[in-house]
Amino acid sequence: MANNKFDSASLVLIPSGKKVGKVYCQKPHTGAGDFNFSRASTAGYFDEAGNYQIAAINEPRFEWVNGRCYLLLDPTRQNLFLNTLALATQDVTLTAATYALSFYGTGSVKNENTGVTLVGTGAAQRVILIFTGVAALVTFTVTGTVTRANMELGNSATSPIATEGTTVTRAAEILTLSAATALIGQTEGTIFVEVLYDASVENRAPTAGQPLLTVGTDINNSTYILLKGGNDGGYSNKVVGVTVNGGVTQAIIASAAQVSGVIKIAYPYAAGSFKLFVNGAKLGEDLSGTVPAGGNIFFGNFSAAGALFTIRLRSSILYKTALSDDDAILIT
Amino acid sequence: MNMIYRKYSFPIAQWEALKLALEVETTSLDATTHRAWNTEIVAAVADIGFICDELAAKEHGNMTCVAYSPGYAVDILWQGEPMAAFHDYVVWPAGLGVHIFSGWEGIYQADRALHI
Repeated sequence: MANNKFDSASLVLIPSGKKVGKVYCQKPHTGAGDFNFSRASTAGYFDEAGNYQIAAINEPRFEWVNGRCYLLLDPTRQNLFLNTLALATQDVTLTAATYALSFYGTGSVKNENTGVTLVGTGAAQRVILIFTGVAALVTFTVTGTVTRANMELGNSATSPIATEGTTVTRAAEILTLSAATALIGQTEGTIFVEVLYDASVENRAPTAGQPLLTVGTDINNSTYILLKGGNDGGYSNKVVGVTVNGGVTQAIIASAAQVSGVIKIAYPYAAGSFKLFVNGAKLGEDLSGTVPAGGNIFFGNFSAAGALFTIRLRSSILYKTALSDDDAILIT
Repeated sequence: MNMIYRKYSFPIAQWEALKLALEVETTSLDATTHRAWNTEIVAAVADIGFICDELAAKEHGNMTCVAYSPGYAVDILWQGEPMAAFHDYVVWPAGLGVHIFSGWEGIYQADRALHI
């Protein structure tokens, strides 16, 4: 193992270069690690100066948060509010499901069905309310300045979706690399990923689970990292490393509950040795099991169906060796 | 880009039958099955539902819809040519209708002008 963790990596993705349909990697230099990106709609994001920009169809979004650049990956969502740049009182058709109400500004939005009012805290600050809807047309009464408001079906608020006279859907964002067998450790390796984590988001596992990063072939033959949200039973707010081979779970290692902020995760894997490291600490190991082969890399899903929850990706690195404990601690 | 945007209004039973052709089935780690859109066929689907045509007066913050459109509204972004079985249900509402995929406003309106 070389001491330089860049030289020894097989793939380094630090989102900094992009074009429509592509996110460029730093390594390998051949371009074989450049990721394919798609989103079948436009989408908004905040640039380095804090200005709201619109990315074209299939253009990746590099969003700046607290002076750092992240690749933003959102699930598909429909904004049920109209005229969201300057929201006014309106009626919205809801169902008996979970919704996320969010906005920027100093005004307020009152759900006349529940009587609950969400009060803004500033022009540049976003407030969010998760609530259970009823199957009815519900009036939302707006007072004061409310901008970039979202009313989304789901248990988390995603990036603002601009609307005017109709409801608008932003399509799911898909970041994948296939035929990448040469970049993935087939018998041993290490997955590293660095993300901005929001512990308040309920990215619980639905029926198909919600992996942050997956390498392998498919859901039944892969090594992946889950980053769980709140309200998910024993896994709430935990990082989980998982390896599945031939449909049989080989290893599951869970961290302690994490708090919001930047999280660095490393998951070295080899036959009979699976370990999980988070933010410079070794959090568990499983000393049995086999490793699946495969050549696909997916963010936010087990397939090319796109993100199932919001990911703010700072970096991701693959190694074709299982890093030592010292090295895994060093890079996290 | 080869995607094609179409708006549809189906009898609900017809939509339930036709949408199976747009889905794939996956199996989760806990062995439960899950249906999702087949992204080789469709880039995105907006399941809008029955559109309210007439509202009743407000009561306790709620309004009641007293007249729904007879068709079940769905917007589809196809990865290529739409499936023939869907052709009979295409609609071209004025303006943008009640829903649009972000960034497709101009394309929809240009297509509508060609088709009506």
